[in-house]
Amino acid sequence: MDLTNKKFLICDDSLLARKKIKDIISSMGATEIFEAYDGEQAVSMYKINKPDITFLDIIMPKKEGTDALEEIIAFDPNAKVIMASSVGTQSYLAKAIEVGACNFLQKPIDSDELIKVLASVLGGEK
Amino acid sequence: MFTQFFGNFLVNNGYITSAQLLKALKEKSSAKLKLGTLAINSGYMTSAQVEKVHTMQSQMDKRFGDIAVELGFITEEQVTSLLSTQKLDYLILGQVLIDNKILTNSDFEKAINSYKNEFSLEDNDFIEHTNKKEKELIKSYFNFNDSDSSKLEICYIELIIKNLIRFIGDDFSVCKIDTSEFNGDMIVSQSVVGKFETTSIITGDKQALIDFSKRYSGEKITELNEYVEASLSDFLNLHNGLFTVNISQNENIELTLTPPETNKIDSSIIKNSFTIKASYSFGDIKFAFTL
Repeated sequence: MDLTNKKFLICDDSLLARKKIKDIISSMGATEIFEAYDGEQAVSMYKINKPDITFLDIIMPKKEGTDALEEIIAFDPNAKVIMASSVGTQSYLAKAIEVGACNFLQKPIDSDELIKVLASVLGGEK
Repeated sequence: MFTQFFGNFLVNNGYITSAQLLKALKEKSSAKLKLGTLAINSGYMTSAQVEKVHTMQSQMDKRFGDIAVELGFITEEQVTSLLSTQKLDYLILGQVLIDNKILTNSDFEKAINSYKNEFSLEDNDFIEHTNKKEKELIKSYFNFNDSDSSKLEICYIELIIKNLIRFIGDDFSVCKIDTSEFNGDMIVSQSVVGKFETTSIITGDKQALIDFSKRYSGEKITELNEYVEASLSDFLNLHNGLFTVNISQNENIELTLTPPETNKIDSSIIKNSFTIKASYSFGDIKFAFTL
């Protein structure tokens, strides 16, 4: 899977989580990678950069991931957003999928799992 | 988990010093368990018998088990069962202390029997790591009563210890500390809200936090920077996530995590917290929590 021409937005208040995702997609050719560290920034960065794929953490400062997701989907109904869920936040996933998230990843992020989810999202499956 | 308390038991009862414990914990990972130590722990041989066999080993080229059987101290079946025993972590700690001549075999025999008696532990408890026994050990060690809040505190401590073992390493001992000792060079906190609220806080001295973070993240960290902050936050988040899941499943209570924060904790919260420290070979990591 070549991610060279894709734009990514990684939204997570954890530097380590952002770095993990960034390292994996960079190794697959991604070069246009934007980062946001709270829910408000996630929405504003999406509107400015219009990424092809967004990774969105659920618990973030200033605005929860599910609230940021609602705003992103309202702005762009075709947004491809992958929710990142920690242990203890799985209950939010049902709402996220209902609002319009196209897939989810369990944290800590596993690189094989991330690749599988990316493949399914970029392949158009939900 | 029993190792984490055995280390402090040795210190608290004057067998070794804190410095000796930390050094032994550091060496523990590369130590090899000897048959004599296993035999004492299982009650098959006394420390005096083990010493006699060791003396004879210096005089003849024979294995420990063979000499012990010839002298009638132990049977061949017992030797076989000892050899197949799973490596017991706390015994390795004991072995390191014996090898470094900090403890004698006799001291070790006395200490291990006292430890087992004080906390009503049996050999199977060490092998099977039964949840119930671990909770009872924590309850006894920290003098908790049978109240509902104590049960939550016991669950919380048990999970902290397990997560430290799993994500950082098992080379530590744990003990309660006074709230006045709860200070450090970076403080990260997170609250869990819902039917009840709890705030968890982690801190430590600069180098301890750096080494903790290096182990947790696998990153090359040399300063007290955003990677340390992220590691502490992630560890707390992971721990609290697991705690909320455990409580939700067992008690049918909904709980929610808030984002971790750095250096924003009120000192009054710490004064009302339960505070413990995990003493690793690289330094102390301190935890405070309110329940």
